[in-house]
Amino acid sequence: MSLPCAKWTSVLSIAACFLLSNAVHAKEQAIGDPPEAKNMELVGWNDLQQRSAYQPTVFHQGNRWIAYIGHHGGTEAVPRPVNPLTGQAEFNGTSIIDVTDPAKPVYLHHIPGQEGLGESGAAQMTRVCSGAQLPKGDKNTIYLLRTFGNIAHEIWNVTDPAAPKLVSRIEGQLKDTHKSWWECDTGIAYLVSGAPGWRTRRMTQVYDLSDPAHPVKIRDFGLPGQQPGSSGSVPTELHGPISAGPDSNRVYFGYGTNKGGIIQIVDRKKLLEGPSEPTPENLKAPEISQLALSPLIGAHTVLPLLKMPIPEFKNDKDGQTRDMVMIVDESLVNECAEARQMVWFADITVEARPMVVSNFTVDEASGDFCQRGGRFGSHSSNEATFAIFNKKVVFVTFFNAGVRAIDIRDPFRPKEIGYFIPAITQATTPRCVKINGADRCKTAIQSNNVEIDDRGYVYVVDRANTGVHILKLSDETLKSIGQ
Amino acid sequence: MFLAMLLPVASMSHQEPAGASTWTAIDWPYPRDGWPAGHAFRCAPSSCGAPAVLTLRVKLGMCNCDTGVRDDLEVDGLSDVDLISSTFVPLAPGTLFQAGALRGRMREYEAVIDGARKRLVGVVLSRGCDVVAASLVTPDRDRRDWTGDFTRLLQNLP
Repeated sequence: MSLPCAKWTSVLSIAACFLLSNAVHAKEQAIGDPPEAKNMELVGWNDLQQRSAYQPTVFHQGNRWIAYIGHHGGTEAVPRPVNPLTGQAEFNGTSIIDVTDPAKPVYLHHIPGQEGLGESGAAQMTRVCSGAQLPKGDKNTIYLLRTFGNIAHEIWNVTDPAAPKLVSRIEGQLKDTHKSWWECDTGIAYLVSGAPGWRTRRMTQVYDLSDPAHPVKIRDFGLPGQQPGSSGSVPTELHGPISAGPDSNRVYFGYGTNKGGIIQIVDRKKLLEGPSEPTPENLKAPEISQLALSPLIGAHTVLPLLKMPIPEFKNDKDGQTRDMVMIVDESLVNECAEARQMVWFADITVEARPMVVSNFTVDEASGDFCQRGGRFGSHSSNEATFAIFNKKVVFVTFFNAGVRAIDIRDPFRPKEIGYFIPAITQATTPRCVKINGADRCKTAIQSNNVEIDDRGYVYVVDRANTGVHILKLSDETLKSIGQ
Repeated sequence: MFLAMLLPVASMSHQEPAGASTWTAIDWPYPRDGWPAGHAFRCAPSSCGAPAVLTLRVKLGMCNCDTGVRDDLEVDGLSDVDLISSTFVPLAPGTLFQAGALRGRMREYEAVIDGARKRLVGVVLSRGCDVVAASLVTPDRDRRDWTGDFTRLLQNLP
């Protein structure tokens, strides 16, 4: 152990020194190595112009399937990659890919984003709604909602995905944006913003985007203590909400990435129709309950899984069907220098008393993932609810452990039924940790976000610039879940 | 080790206070939270003019890797003053604080703890995606400038 390590005796230092000074003999990925897989197959791939990718959304428009993929900012080495379609250097923004033939994805267009590196710029978020579904949208138009870096939200007309046109922009001196949610049937959008005066980097701005050309703000929302003018401890910042829509009348908010996670269950109607002034009372009024997670974990995604029949409970006189949420933490630090971020299932059948009942993580020893380089741990799940997988299988990214297919038909006992760890390429960017003040870098896949389409294809995108991999479950595995 | 990784070998930008105060290492005085415990020190009134407890710890993984500590919100949320009191009230806008390559902000607060009014100081410094958080609690009557103590302890940890 190096001298600086020996000088420190805290738990932090001992653990971290051990982690960072024993990074040898691991199964590091090398260019040319094949992907690692179980019950999942590679169908197609696109390099996304070697841009770091965040949120994919796949939309079935007409007889085509189009993937809209948000990007993080560029790297110091390549802050403004060249778009081969235009020959122009463009700040990372939104990639639009025709995936109608998933074996041969076609890159159609890149909408540039805000200038900035990493989390600072680009256009990370995508959601797509059809004007035919939006109450006041143009019936022949497809709309893309995206972030513009950290300063704005934008709506684009992507009816012709190869030639998007800006429809409207929501600004307001925002200091951050992130993983928003858009209800296509009502047009209500829960935009993750950082509004001026709020004591948090990320909170919710609720908008009526039923007419995408004319956004109407409904209210600002957050946890009491985050609102302007408050003092004392600042509650954990928002990561993202998911609405179950007007019928369920619930919105599920996840706060925190890898620390201090909070799940908040909110009455949608009270949120939308209650007094909008951000007083502590008004912020508390729509809340049904909170579930405070361990301070060691966050809540990147809170995916509602409502009215799930539980096979094990089928002969019980009560509780055969449960309302569940799946909570996905976000790993934030390279090479396991943090508590494990993983997946948790909470039973929210009795909403006032939510309770974590099970969990899932990748077996670290199965791939020596703490020594492979980059982040290891969960990040994100699919959020679309197409019938082929709904309440049966979820896909969760685990950074250097790729994407994991989890059978959730019994959410009290989730089990892995497949995985895919994409191969790295020349474009994959290394991830570094400091050893005695100097960078020590490794290159590993960093599967960041994942989404599905209504055909059952799985789209996993890479934070380390390796592109989008289009996957499918093996036929045997599909049969095992009744497909 | 992480502080050693983050802190430069070069001297800090702030001057040490006149008369070296004596800080004694103590056990981490606050409950476990999401971050591993760090280092804590106590200074006696005979040395510092007022009883004081100062903590330092590294927090790996900050989202603002490129922008660093942008505003007082970062100090309110990351400096560990909330471990001392959850009802702290800022006294004024924070100020820039730099220690070698580490840059950030310092801010002062007040809080009532067990019926007694206290003065709190929070410091957050960052480099890349990592943060050094520091906090200090003293009696309300204390008016000492603690900048040099923060700097010296950051630089000269055992």
